[in-house]
Amino acid sequence: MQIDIKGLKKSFGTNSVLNGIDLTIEDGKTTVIVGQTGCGKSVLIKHIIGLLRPDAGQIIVNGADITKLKRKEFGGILKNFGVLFQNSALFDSMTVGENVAFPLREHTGLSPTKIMDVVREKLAIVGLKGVEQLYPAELSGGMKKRVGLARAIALDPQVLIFDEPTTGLDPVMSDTIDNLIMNTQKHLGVTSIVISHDIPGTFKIARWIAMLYKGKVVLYGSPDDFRNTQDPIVRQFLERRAEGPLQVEA
Amino acid sequence: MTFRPIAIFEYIGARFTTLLEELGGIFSTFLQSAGLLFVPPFRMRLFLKQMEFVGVESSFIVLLTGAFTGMVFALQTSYAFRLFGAENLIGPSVALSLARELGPVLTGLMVTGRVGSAMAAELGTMKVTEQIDALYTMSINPVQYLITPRVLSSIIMLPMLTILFDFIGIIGSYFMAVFLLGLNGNRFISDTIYMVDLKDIYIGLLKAAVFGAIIAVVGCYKGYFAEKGAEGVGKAATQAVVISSVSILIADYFLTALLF
Ligand SMILES: Nc1ncnc2c1ncn2[C@@H]1O[C@H](COP(=O)(O)OP(=O)(O)OP(=O)(O)O)[C@@H](O)[C@H]1O
Ligand SMILES: [Mg+2]
Repeated sequence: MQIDIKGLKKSFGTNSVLNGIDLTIEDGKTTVIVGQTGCGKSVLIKHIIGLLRPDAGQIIVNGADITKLKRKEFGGILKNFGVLFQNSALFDSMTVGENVAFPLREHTGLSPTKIMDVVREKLAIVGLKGVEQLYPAELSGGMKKRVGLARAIALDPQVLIFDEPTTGLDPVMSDTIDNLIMNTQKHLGVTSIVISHDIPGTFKIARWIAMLYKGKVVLYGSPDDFRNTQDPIVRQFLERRAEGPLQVEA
Repeated sequence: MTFRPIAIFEYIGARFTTLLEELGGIFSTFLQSAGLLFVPPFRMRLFLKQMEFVGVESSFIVLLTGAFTGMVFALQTSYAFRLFGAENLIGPSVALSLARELGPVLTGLMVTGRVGSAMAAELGTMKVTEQIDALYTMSINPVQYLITPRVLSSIIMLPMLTILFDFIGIIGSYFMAVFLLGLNGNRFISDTIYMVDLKDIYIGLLKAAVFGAIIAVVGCYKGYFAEKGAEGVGKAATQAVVISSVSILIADYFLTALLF
């Protein structure tokens, strides 16, 4: 599913976060969004899933501008999306198993035993076993993230939207998740939008990378474009230096 | 700082404006959740869970408050009625006040403290930890999933709890009157039955149903729109109790004026 973002603007009070984002998410490919903390990455994807309304601009999915849809009409689009929130957003009144089973129970006619099979399978994909009976409060941060991932992929969605899927995971686990994203893309042709602070991981999984800065896309291109760019802002970010034109905002 | 008497009017004026806005939000939450009652899917399990939480788990505090309210009321009225030698009116007057006023209102206030605050805290936590957003991204209508079952079960359970309150209250007053004040038990019962109309009880239960709606809608509304982390959740819970309690007393006045 191709997603075209055109001239997207959003402010919160006097804090203008998105200043005209133009970005195309290519169908069937992985696009990674990078940028400084607080630059509006999470805000951008919340527009794509209809949680926030832009002040101006459009998001075109299947030829229709989804920013004009009412919340109710979003349901049809969201059924194709699997979303991982930055803080996982697990239902804390449900066990891990119930969390992952939730979308299956709500949207498929599968039998309870079949659902349990899918739940186990999805949890195994993210490297979790035997945690179905635990509650989210009993999990480590990285485990929560992976349960969130398992829940996001439970319905085998066509579009994955992952807000920092590997932040807080150890390097080995991060690579496992990167492989998961690459495999679903390769085998199932899934379109993925991934927000990441992990530069090596980004180069590994991305077909396209977009870097946000001051509410705009400063550079959009392939990993090679990013490796070869002379843009001082992008260079400083990729080389993770504190000195340079990029400033840490107070 | 100097004390400006005018400030109190400014304060009250400002509060009235936010109150009106808030009432609009609360009312629209009610309409939405009620409308979604008739739209599938029907989630029986969520509904039963809330029935248990609102009804079953409130029964003990309702029992306690009901018994003592009945007893103290019998004691208080006995002083006055004694003067006229009209002790036989103790039973009927306790029963009437319980059925018409005290049963629904006190049950409503007790349940507000327990259930309204819990609903606000629970939904508020879900809001600030993005669980409500997560529901929405899974194409679940959060109002239907979270608010509708709570409102419906409160509307059903508050009258049930009120019946319990009235019943225990009357038993409490019976014990007071018969064993402590030495009235005739059979007389107490027959006088009470003679004086209390079924209509008194029905209207009391209707009030209770309205209070149930108020408690759940206000609690859910406050939680659903909670902001700013833990502090916001705490505030939502407190405000839910204050707003529901005041609304119950105001609604009680109008229902009494209209229905009796
Ligand atoms: N609901 C909101 N209300 C007001 N301001 C908000 C809201 N959501 C985000 N912001 C502001 O928007 C800006 C961007 O936030 P966002 O969460 O998108 O950052 P981010 O790029 O995802 O950062 P990080 O890498 O740390 O997750 C921040 O300045 C934040 O204060
Ligand atoms: Mg973010």
